Amino acid sequence: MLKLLESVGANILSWVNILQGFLSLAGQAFYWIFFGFKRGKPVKRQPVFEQMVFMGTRSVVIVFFVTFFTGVVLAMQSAQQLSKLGGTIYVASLVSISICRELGPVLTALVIAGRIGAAITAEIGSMQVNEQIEALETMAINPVRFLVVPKVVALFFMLPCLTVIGDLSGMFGGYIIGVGNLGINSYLYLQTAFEYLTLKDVYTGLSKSLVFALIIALVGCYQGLNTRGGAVGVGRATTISVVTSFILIIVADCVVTGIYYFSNI
Amino acid sequence: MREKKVAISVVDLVKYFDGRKVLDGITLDIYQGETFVIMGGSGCGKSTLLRHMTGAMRPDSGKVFFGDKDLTTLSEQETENVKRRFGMCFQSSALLDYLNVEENVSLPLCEHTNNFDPKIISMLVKMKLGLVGLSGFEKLMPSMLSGGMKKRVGLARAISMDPEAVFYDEPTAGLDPIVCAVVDKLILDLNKKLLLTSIVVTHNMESVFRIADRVAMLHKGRVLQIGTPDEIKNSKDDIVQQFINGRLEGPINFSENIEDVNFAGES
Repeated sequence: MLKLLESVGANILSWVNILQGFLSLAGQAFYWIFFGFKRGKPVKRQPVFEQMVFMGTRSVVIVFFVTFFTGVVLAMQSAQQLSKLGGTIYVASLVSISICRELGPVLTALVIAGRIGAAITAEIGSMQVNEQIEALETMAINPVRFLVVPKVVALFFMLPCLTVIGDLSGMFGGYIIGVGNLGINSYLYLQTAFEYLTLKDVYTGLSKSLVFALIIALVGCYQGLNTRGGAVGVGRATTISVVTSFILIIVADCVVTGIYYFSNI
Repeated sequence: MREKKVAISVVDLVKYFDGRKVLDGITLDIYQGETFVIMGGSGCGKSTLLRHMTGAMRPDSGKVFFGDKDLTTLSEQETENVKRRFGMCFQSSALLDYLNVEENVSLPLCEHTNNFDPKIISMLVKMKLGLVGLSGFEKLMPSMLSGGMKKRVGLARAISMDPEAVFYDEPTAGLDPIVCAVVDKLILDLNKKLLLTSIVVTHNMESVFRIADRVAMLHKGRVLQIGTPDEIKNSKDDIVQQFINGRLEGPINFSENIEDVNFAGES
């Protein structure tokens, strides 16, 4: 019994430690983003743009494919059910609303967590095990400012952009099925798709993606900076980073949706 | 003999890892302009000692003075200011592998100076690379360089801010004997040309006797002996003799006790 309590206690303590470390990293990152200029070290544009190209531009294709086919599948599945009720036309609005509110932001975030979150952890993790982070510290270059801040800023701006692309390509997938297979008039499809879609649907989705961006970038950097133990350690940190991001994205999705649902914003 | 000024002073330094004493009251003075070698067996705490001198670790008790600043009590901002006054050359070179040689060497300059003319920076980089004998290598990536070249680029980076002192962590580890000699000569040259204080951690005996002005032998977290290379060579201490001659028989037992091995400090 005592052993059980001990192990539960040790587990809780290690979780508290991790949370503490994570929050401290987030705090430092925000400090350097907003107050770095006070110490003569504002956020530099060039590394941010480099990261934006890597995280944003080069992820467009994969985001397109994932959301496009989700739109296609959604249209096919719902058409089957809605046709029984004689409301095939509503496939348009169903696809557009569910993509913009939920699937677009979440799927894009999951894809980016897999692609970018893993890359961030692997990069910073291998720098950690190769003494490169220590070298930065010895040169009086703050690793959070130098490595973490550009990534957080870049992803914060790029994930919403990717989400918009994801939303559009998901709706495009639905359109292909609606017009090509269900024989709905193209104009009518588009009209129905946008008739029921409110601005709120879009901005709830985009506000979620801002939260997801912070989760992916900060979890990736945190795991990278806390990598220990050579190549195996980098692999382990990368796995943990992606898994943690996935779980936190779904949890945050639930929380943000809950906030909108209960507060009627 | 003229009065020697102390550059770095370590006073009664104690550090524990998981309840085990890794540094056990180390006291030593390093004078300005000298080449000071710290040697000792693997796991004796020499890398840990070096990390305390560079401010990367904080001791459990004791002090480390760089000039008149006590590194163990400074604020983050003040520590940064002190860190700009020395350079460090890492065992694995620790070059950022996504930057080319020029960007690596200029990194401290770009980060610590505001709006320096890029032309001046590039000129300074050329000068530093020239000092380590790597002119014309500016645009190469670290992955294209050999181990010895990486070491020298790391050295160029260490001296890019015109430091007062340079720390070397195993500068000749993993290099062939000729490159070892080249790196040793470089350390001596830089020492003379830039009037540096050099602190070298190594267990390569040849380089110890080639470069050292003074040597400290560490054993189990304590300073066993400090002296000139000749004094060390003629030491009466059995441990020192066994170490510098690389003998199997002697007071140092090779089959190490797991409690004596310093896992956290040595990489």
